[in-house]
Amino acid sequence: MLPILPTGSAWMMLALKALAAMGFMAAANAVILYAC
Amino acid sequence: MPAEKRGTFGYWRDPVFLLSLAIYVVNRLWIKPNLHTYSPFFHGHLNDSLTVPVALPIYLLVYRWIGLRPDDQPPRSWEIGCHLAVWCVFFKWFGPAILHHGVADPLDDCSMLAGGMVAWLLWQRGWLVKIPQAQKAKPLHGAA
Repeated sequence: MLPILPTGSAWMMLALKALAAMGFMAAANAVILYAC
Repeated sequence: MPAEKRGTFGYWRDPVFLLSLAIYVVNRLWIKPNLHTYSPFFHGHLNDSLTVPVALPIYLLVYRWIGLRPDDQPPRSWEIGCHLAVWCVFFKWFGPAILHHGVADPLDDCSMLAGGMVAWLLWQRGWLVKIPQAQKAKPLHGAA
């Protein structure tokens, strides 16, 4: 494996961060839609 | 842009964010309640044009806390573009069509895009100003 590529656990961490960001975005978009 | 370059974007302390937030609050609390007739600008387009400068810094701050954003550079064009794409779909299709909340008006998308472009120019004013200065600078060959 190329050293620049993330390892398995790094991929897992990146996926978790992306999931958290998408969850935040969905919640924040809903707040903007209903409150603003 | 190297990841180790930290940057100086202030997120919630950014002047573009604070000014846009002030305009939104003034419009919501003072202008709209005192309008006796419907105004497309104050009731719709102004809020849409403020979406990027008000919302994006908060989103980017959360991404920074999560660890997805590697530095504190001002919002980049692709960050603005990706969020604009998501917001256009969410607010102008998903909201009105699925959640039955909001209005699907193509002019709102244009307002959001225009606000995003103005905000990007203001956030990138640092290097936009530096380019003409760098072109004017001349080497000091033969200077005493």
